[in-house]
Amino acid sequence: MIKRISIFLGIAFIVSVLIIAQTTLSNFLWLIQADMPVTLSLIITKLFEDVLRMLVIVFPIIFIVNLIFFLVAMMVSKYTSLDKKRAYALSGGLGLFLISVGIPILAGGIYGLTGARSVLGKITFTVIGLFGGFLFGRHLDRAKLETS
Amino acid sequence: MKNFKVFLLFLVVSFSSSIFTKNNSHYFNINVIAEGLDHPWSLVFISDDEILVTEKTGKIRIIKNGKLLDEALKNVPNSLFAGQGGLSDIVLHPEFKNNRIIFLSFSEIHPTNKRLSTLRVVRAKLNGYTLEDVEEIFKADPYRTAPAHFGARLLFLKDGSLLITSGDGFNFREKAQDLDNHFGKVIRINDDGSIPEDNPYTNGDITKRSIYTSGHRNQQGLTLSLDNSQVYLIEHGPRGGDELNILEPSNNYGWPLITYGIDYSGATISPFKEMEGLEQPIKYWVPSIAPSGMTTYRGDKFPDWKGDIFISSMIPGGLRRLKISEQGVEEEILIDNLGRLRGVHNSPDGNLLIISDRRNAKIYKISPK
Repeated sequence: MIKRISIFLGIAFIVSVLIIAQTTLSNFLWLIQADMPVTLSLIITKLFEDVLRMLVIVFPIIFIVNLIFFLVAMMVSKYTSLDKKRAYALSGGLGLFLISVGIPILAGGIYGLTGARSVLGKITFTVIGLFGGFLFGRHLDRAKLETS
Repeated sequence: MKNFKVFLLFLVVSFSSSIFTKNNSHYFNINVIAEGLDHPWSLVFISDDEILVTEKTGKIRIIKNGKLLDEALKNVPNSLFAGQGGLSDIVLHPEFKNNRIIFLSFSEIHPTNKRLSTLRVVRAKLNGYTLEDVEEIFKADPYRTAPAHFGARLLFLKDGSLLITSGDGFNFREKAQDLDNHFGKVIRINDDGSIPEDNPYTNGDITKRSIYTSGHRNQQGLTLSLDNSQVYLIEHGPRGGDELNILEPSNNYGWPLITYGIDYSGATISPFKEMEGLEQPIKYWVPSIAPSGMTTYRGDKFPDWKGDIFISSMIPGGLRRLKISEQGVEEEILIDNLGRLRGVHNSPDGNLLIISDRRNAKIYKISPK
């Protein structure tokens, strides 16, 4: 159980970092398109700073959303033939998609995470969620194999 | 022992300076002249004893002989009261005494898509306490998806043209750098809505030709210097980076290519604070003070203040006096114990009026002791 919680927290952390990276990189991508003198070392430095600043906001959101959607995935995989990897991946993707569209709805149209403003941004959020869910489902599958 | 004395001295000095900034009212009185206002945004004197006050919720209230009347101005256009939007600024035509024309800025919902809104400016004739001949002279292009960052401040220049601040719409900050839209721009039009021939961009469509300056975020303060030679503009930054700028036609003020702030989420918007071709503010604030209004003191009751810039702010809320000279900008915090302030205005009798924010708001008069 402790291992499962640790994996859950680790995946929430990885997903959070990827979301932060997507936001930072989308900002830098626009600066590059606008001919600003962006360097690789500058991106890495700012990415590191952003992770330190944003984790306190992003991690709790991801934690709560993943918790809700993974619990739903657990129920679905228990009572259907859908395998765990697919169930958790789908719910992770759905959770992150809902973050990308739900925050602006709750905040009166304002995008708190600016990386989600575009269609591509929303797709990237969803893919990151799918990835996180897939990792968690794969871990559960492996754990099941080890115990059997 | 010596270190301990130095430490004690440091504590005393720190405590004294803190007291100074919080109760810097030793040379002026603050009196409430009206209360019970609902989200007031701006005010204007239509005579020495009559004030019109806009409320974001959509009404224009009347203060006559120091009393807030129950009746409101009639025939005020409908506005969208949502988010940061609502009925906003009110200014008089430079020839108001002769023509009784006033100008209003407000946010308006799209006629068919309720998710969209924009900034609109109208002119109207004041007949008694009724608006007549209401006529649109500006509508920001395009509509925005969030009711935020409208700007909405109005200022007549000495040549009779009208400046309008149009914010970046929050979700469209990058468009502040493009000249094909009104996001993050200052607009200059004539009093009938036509485009002045001496605007900086003479080619292109009407949107581009109406642009005076670009690269702004959410500009909520505009004022002329005492000799009317310079236009000062104040704008909200994100987390940090509120700016005081001097406006010059066609200048690009950099948002969001350069900024002294970061995003509310903590993300880097731009690592650059300055860049060739992009204007620097003459002052910026980190952390943010959320500047909501600005005026140049033109009265005689405070001779030392004449020509100084006064800024109302919402975080933590207060009134600041700025003395601008060739040596730089000196800042004094005059008030920081009245909560969020929405605006600061000259009164014809030489006093200053400040407006508090949100529900059950008040208008205060600042007069010499």
